[in-house]
Amino acid sequence: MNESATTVTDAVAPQRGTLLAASGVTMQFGGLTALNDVSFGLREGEIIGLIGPNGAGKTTLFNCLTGLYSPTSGAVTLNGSPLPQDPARVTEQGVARTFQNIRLFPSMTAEENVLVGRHVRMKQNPLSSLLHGPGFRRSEAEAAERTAKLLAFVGLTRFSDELARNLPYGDQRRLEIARALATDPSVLLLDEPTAGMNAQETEATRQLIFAIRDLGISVVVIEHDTKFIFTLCDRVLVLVQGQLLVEGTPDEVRGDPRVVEAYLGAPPEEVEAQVHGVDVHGSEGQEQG
Amino acid sequence: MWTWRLGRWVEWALLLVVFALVLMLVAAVLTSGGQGSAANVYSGAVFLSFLGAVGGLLGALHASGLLTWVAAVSERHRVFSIVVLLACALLLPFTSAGTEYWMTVAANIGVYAATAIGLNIVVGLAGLLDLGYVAFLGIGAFVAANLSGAAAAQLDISVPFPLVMVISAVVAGIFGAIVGSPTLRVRGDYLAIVTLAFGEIFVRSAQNNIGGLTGGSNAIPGIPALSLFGQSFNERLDIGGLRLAPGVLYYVLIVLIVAAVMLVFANLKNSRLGRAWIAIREDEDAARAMGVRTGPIKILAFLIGAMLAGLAGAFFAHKTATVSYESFRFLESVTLLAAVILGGMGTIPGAVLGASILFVLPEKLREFSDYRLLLFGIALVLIMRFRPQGLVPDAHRRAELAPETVDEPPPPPPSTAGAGAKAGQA
Repeated sequence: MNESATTVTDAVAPQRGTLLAASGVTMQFGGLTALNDVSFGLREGEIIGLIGPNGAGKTTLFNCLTGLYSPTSGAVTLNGSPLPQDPARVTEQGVARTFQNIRLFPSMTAEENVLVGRHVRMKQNPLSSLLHGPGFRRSEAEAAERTAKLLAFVGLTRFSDELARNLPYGDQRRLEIARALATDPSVLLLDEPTAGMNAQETEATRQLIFAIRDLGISVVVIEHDTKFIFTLCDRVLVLVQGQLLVEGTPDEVRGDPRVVEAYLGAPPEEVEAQVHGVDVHGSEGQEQG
Repeated sequence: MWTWRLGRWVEWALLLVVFALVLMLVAAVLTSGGQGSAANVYSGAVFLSFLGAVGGLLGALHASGLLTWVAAVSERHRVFSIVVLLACALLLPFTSAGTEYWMTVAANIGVYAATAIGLNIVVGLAGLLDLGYVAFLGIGAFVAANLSGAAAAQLDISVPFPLVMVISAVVAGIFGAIVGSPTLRVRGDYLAIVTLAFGEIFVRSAQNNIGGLTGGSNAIPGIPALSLFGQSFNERLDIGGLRLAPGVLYYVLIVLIVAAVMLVFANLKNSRLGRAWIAIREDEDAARAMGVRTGPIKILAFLIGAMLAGLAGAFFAHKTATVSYESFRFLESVTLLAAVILGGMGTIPGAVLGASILFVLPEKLREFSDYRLLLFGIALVLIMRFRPQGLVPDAHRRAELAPETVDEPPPPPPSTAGAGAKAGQA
């Protein structure tokens, strides 16, 4: 395949409009409805944040968007055509993801992890890989070059030959992103990319996601850190108990009382009061009395 | 750790000496104690003591860091080392081990080494536990027996041996794929049970002479010996003034087969396919999310592993002249699996060493008769207790089982992702 030397990741040919869309996606596990009639569209070059309390169905939605689950009803489309029901094919068609609980290949080196990401974009015929012929060497050299670029892109060049399991936690998350980028995605789904990171690492991740967007890749991010989401995303979706509660710009979502109530589970005064240790009801009672 | 680097020629000479020593050591170990018989009651004991001494010596060398250093040197001169090693293996008939008996033992070790390397693809790389793997060796052997034996002679067909090998490998490979397909939906314990069942199906079918193809309990006898340019592989070989023991040609052939199997394993391991296998072993779901189509890739592991076993099976049939289902029972599958795990999963020297030890021990411990399996079991338990990563572990797996602190990288400097990102855009 032709790869331009200057770009780190080949994005799918520019095409304004919706890349990945969910329409009326409902997911039931037995009697439990994990997702209920969720619809949204991811536009090109957009960063969407997905927030919601634990158990709201965020990861379930990701699994529906990557072909791991097939929705009970509703449909997911990619570039207007239905999403294949096979994670490997979804990845081939340009949707890559990371996992909430890091799922690298622990006993492979950082470089090998990213090389596995190149799997779908590499062509090696069996005979050539058996004999390590010229075609094989060319494809390996290309993959190695691309891998080196991606490791540099996420700042992990120095860990190239280190086993993934030995990498520091934050770097493991970054390596997962590099591995996902190696599949040349047009859409990247990040499941809690800053979980367990300190403020500095979180900021670095934010810059990294911006850089990924600037490569022309659309991003969907699940995150609990609302401050992170509101400063990162173009649009924010709020998922509560499997339903899409609010959708809008960070400012709209931040000001929406329903979000605050659903997300925090209590009116703001009360929460603030709890935080500051003030007895709201008590003081109200005094005023009345 | 020693990090000397010497001149190229010095290192070459050094490797030559080392491999020559290895050759002599192998010959000495193999023949130590002599051939067990009624007249030679202490052969097993002598062998065990000798093996213990060699093991102790190697352990000491390893502890001193010398072995690691030699390994690093040979890694620097890979092609040279491979050529010299192959030459050394071919020179074994010229040592004290060059008698008909020891050549037969060595050829049998070769058969199991080739099969163990095939199994290593399935178990060591793809992480698919296969408890019925010896069936593929059996399928290869029976196919060869039918193509070269009495059945073919009656039909007046004479298939040349290279073609027999290819057909045996292909048929075994097809069965490998057939066994592989229903196992795609099962993992771990369940996969082991399915493969165990397949192994049993094979043994029972062969025992009952299914389709008249396996000879049942009568086995298939009378498979003709191989011959090349009129020289039968069973006969004494005279080259000029040199007289070589019968069976030397079989040994040479199996060395070449094992070398080919090693090449297949090593080249596939370092390819897109090999990485996909390892990724499946590490985390199947994550591999799928990275675009690895796990179904076909797993079937390929079964298929290629079975083909390598089938190849060895074709050789085995001609070498032993008689193929019986009794050679391919559950115990053999387990021993092969033990060879792979004992030697070190995912490595070539490991599989070869494991196969050598496991198939030499029963041969050497004959006069312990009833106790030999007990001794064998105790040895296995001890090795697994004190060296769980295997005798020659994969670099990765070694790290995996080593104490956590050893490979801890230095604490990361402040994140450089932002800078990296800028470089990426440029």
